[in-house]
Amino acid sequence: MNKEEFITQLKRSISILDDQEQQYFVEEYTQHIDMKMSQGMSEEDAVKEMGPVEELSKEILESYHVKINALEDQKAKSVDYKKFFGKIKGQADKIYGKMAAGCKKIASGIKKFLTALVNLCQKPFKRDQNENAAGEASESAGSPDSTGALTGAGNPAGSGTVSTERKQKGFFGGIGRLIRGFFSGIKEFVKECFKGMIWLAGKCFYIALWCMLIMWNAFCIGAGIIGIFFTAVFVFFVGLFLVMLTQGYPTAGFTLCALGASVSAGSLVAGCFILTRWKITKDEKPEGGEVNV
Amino acid sequence: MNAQFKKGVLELIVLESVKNKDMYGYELVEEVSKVIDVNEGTIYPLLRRLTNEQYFETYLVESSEGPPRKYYHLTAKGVLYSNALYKDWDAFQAKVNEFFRGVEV
Repeated sequence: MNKEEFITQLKRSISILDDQEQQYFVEEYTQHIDMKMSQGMSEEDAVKEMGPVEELSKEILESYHVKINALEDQKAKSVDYKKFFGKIKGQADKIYGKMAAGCKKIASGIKKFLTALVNLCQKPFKRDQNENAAGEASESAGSPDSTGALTGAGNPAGSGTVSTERKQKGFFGGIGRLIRGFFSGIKEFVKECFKGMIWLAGKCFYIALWCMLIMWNAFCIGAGIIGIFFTAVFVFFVGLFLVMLTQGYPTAGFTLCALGASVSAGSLVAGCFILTRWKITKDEKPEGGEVNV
Repeated sequence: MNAQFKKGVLELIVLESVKNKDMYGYELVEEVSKVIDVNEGTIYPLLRRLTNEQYFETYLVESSEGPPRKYYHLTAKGVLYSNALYKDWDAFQAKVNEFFRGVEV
């Protein structure tokens, strides 16, 4: 490593510091290396004597009480997001690729079908000359005309029947390919979509579970708060009726009722808060026993 | 020598060196290298920290060769700190040595 590289690397790894502070280290290290070199040491050795850049930058940052891992943590988080979206993109690309392949198959099917159709239509007009050549072409693209011509020349008598059969084969083969291409395209498309959905559903499931948990807790807390209100009201009535009882009014029954109501409302409150859950275990099921206060 | 020992005592050596005589970075590295063998780069973070904590102050002196040199000077605060640190070190090494002598016997 030469001086330039050393300084650039160092600057990059302490870029979190003030320009002024960075400047200090750049100046001091440059000067130090220059002095070493002026005493006859090679550039390489002078840089080596400074120690590895990672260690130096770590020590520099430590001397400012910088939390060294903070930057790396942030990087790791952003990478995670990238991975997530990358995966979605990958899945979309795959679906697109399959769709494209399906379309290609369909297109080739259509092409074969049309070629065969054209040949079939041409039949009455070009009976004698080009039948074989056209038939060959529809069967296997790129076969040279000369082959067709040779075959045609070889059996001039039975050429008509042979080529008709071939054309019909090409025609039905074209239809078959078209249909097969169409269905295999659809199949692949659906398969990939399904795979993507399963993957997404896996992620969504966890989020949904959390949402459910939050709703459940909201419900429990809401019921708990209402319960607290009723408990307070009933306790108030207990007091009221007790006072009236001591005054000689016949409110013993009311007192007992209010007492029972306040106790049951109180237990409702306790129950609500015991039923709140705040954790999801690894097998993605709500865990019991975690009590919120 | 054990890296942790070096790290602990480096600060004191730097402070005491500068107490005797104002020095610039390269000179100081050479001075320290006489005592302990450290990566030369590690002195500078220490110097910067001690400067930021106002134990050192710096001034530039023109040099016949190359750019001006940054000299480090121990401030009054630095002298106090250095003395305190030296006392700590002295007490510490005395205690540790005493312990080792006790173990030998």
